[in-house]
Parts: sequence; C-alpha cells; structure tokens
Amino acid sequence: MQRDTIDVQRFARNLERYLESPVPGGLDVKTRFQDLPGWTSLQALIVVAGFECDYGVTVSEDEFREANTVEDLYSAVVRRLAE
Amino acid sequence: MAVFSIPNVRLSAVSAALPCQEVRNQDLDLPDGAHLEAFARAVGIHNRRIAPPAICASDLCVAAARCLLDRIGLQPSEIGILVFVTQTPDYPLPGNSMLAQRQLGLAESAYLLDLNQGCAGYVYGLASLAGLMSATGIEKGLLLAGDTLTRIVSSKDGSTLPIFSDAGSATLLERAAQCELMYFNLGSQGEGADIIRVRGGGARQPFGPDSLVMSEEARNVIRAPIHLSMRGMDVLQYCSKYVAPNVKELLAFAEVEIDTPDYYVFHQANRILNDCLVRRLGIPVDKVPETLSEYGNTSCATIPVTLCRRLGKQLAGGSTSLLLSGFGAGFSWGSALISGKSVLCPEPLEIDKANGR
Repeated sequence: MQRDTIDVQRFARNLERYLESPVPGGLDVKTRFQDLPGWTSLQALIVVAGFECDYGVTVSEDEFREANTVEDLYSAVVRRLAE
Repeated sequence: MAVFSIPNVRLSAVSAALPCQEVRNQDLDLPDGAHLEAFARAVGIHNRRIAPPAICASDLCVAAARCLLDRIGLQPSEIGILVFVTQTPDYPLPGNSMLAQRQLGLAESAYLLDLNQGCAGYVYGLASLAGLMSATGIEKGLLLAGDTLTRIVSSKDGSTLPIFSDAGSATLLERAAQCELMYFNLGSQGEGADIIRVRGGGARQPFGPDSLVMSEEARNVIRAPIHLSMRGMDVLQYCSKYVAPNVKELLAFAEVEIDTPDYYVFHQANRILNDCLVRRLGIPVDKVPETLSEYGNTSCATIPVTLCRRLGKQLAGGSTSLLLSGFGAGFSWGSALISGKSVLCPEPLEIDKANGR
C-alpha cells in the first residue's frame, strides 16, 4: 500500500479488522488502547503484525507504549513510512 | 556477512523427543483467562509439552540420540564431535555436552562443544558442526538441540506462558565424498540483546532474594528477574527487518530460486510471526510445515521436531531440498539450505522419565 493512500480513518478501520471488532460502534481516532476491553500485549502484537502486512512497516515496543490512541499510532506508522 | 557453503557433509538422521505431559492453553489459569481462546487462535498454539522436574534438556536430547543411534546401528564411540545447543542447561556448569557424553557413553577423545543459542540455535548448531567436521575430517558428528523453557517462564506472564514448550532433538551429520553442498547464512544484532532475555541469575545480577521478586510489568505480565522476558513487538520488528532478507540472500548465494526448496521449515515462534514471514517471502503455505498448534514454541528444537513430525516420509525418500530458518534471542538469526536423501527421520518420541544425573 502506498503512503499517500493512508488516512487515519482507514487506518482505524484496519485496526478494527485486525482486532476483530473490539468495540461496538468501531474505533474512534481518539480511542485509547488501554480502554479497550481485554487489551493486552497480544492485542498490541496483533495490531503491529497487521500493519506490517498492510503497510510493510513495524513499530517498536517503546513506540507503541508511547502511542496512547489510534491517532498516535497512526502518526508513528506514518513516521516509519517516511524513513 | 557469514554466508558460506560446506562441502562433503551430509544430513543422515534427525530425531526428536518430547515430554509426555501435555497442557492445553485453554485450561491455563491466567488473570485474563477469558481471552485465552482468542490468544490461542492468534498465536496458533493450542497445546504444549511440559517436562516434569526430573526431565531436563539433556534427558530429552539423549533420548532422541539413543533412538537415532539404535535405529542406525551406530556405536557411541563412532561419534567424533558432539555439539549441544541449549539455553536451559541442566546446571550452570559443566555444559550439557559433558552430561550427554556421559549418558551416551561417547569416547574420551570426542570433541565436545556447548552453544548458548536460542531459537536460531538449530541452524547455528548445524553450521558449527558441519564446519568443524569439514575442517577436522572427523567422520560423524551429533548435534543435540533442546530446551526446557517452561522452567524459566513465569506462571503469571500471559505474554510468554502460553507460547513456550519443552523438547529435545538429535541430528547426525556424516562426511560423504559425493553430496550436495550445505549452505548457511548467519547473522546477529547485539543491539537486540534485551528483546528476549533472563535478566537475573547470571554473573551481572547474581541469584539472590531480589531475583524472585515478582512485579507487574504490563497488564497480565507478572514476572521476576529470574524469568524469561520477551518484547513481542520488537521481535516482530527484528524478524521483519532481518529474517526474510537473510533467507533471500542465502538463496541468491546458492544460486537457486525462491521456488526451488521443496520445504521451508521455520522456527515455530508463533503464528503471527510465521505468517508475516511467509507473506514477506511470498511462498506457498503448503511448503511450510508447522507444529505450533500441537507442540508450541520449543526454542531451538522446533525445526527438528517439525522435520520429524511432518517430513519423515519425504526425507526418507529421494533428494529433498530444505530451507531451514531460525531466529530469536540475541537477537540472532540464521538460515540453511540443505539437501536430504534417505534421511532417517522418525516420529517424535514421547518420554516420561529421565536418563541422566
């Protein structure tokens, strides 16, 4: 997937797909990962593996820890894509 | 760049041994137990094997080696080199190679070597053994690779407990005048030393009361310094960066195409990682045998366990091209391109008692 085709809403829809619809009504860009029911390091790993597949980049454990929201994670992935 | 080939050494036999005791991940008692089913589905691990206290890595590997020597009709005294790969040795010292020599009755003149390597250990062990045999002219060498990682995993760590499992293996290499080259490509990145590690209990943080103090490092991750810790996302990042390129580089060095190997036998890490690797390489899944669901991640033993469980018939027949790839603690990774023909590769043994002391 090309970088210019990524937008934050589509990124959020992809996260929902990786996590198999984690919350009713879907993820908002401001959704905090820690607030998701049953959120563990495994869910985080599933997310990272998902966008490794879709976008061809990964983020580190520290980067994910600093990304509190869907929007933060989107920014981290965009930064990686720019490298 | 350690990409090289070794002539005149062939793969003759592979055997594996697992402890009888099986646990189902869905039965684990973890704080987030409600999510264990989703976890098992995501990591692809449903059952694991747990060695009872009396069984250590040496016992599992020696059982596998005895099976192999008996089936071939080899005397232990014919083994000139033994390489033992483990990160859960029976004792801090001496090394497991010495214990295996005693248990198997190898000659005093045998060349014994211990390698501290994790999930890349089988490939590192094969490369080391084949290289030593090529350099010394010693005719027959044994690689023993096994771990009991369940011994060093916290029972309250949801990030490692449902993944790791116990197994041992034995692989016989023999010198042969007419055989295909063995190809290897090995790499490491010491910057990733903290990604998979046991912090306490070594010389830098000697064992003491602090080694056993449990702390909650993340939700559902409670462990002490004496326990194995793993940063899953960083493992994925390193795998993504290094493992698939390492495999492609090896194939290019050997001047073969990506569709040449009959089978790609990867270290059985977890399904998330392995699926990423398969996608990155663009190889068909029917060339990628797996044993994750049945046996879990048995560290350096996953590749021989998978060979024995899934490819015994193929290896017993005509020439089969195998691409082996391991990756893990270090961070280290390695791949091997080897050919198997008339290889003895029986189903994994199940053992319930120790051999050693």
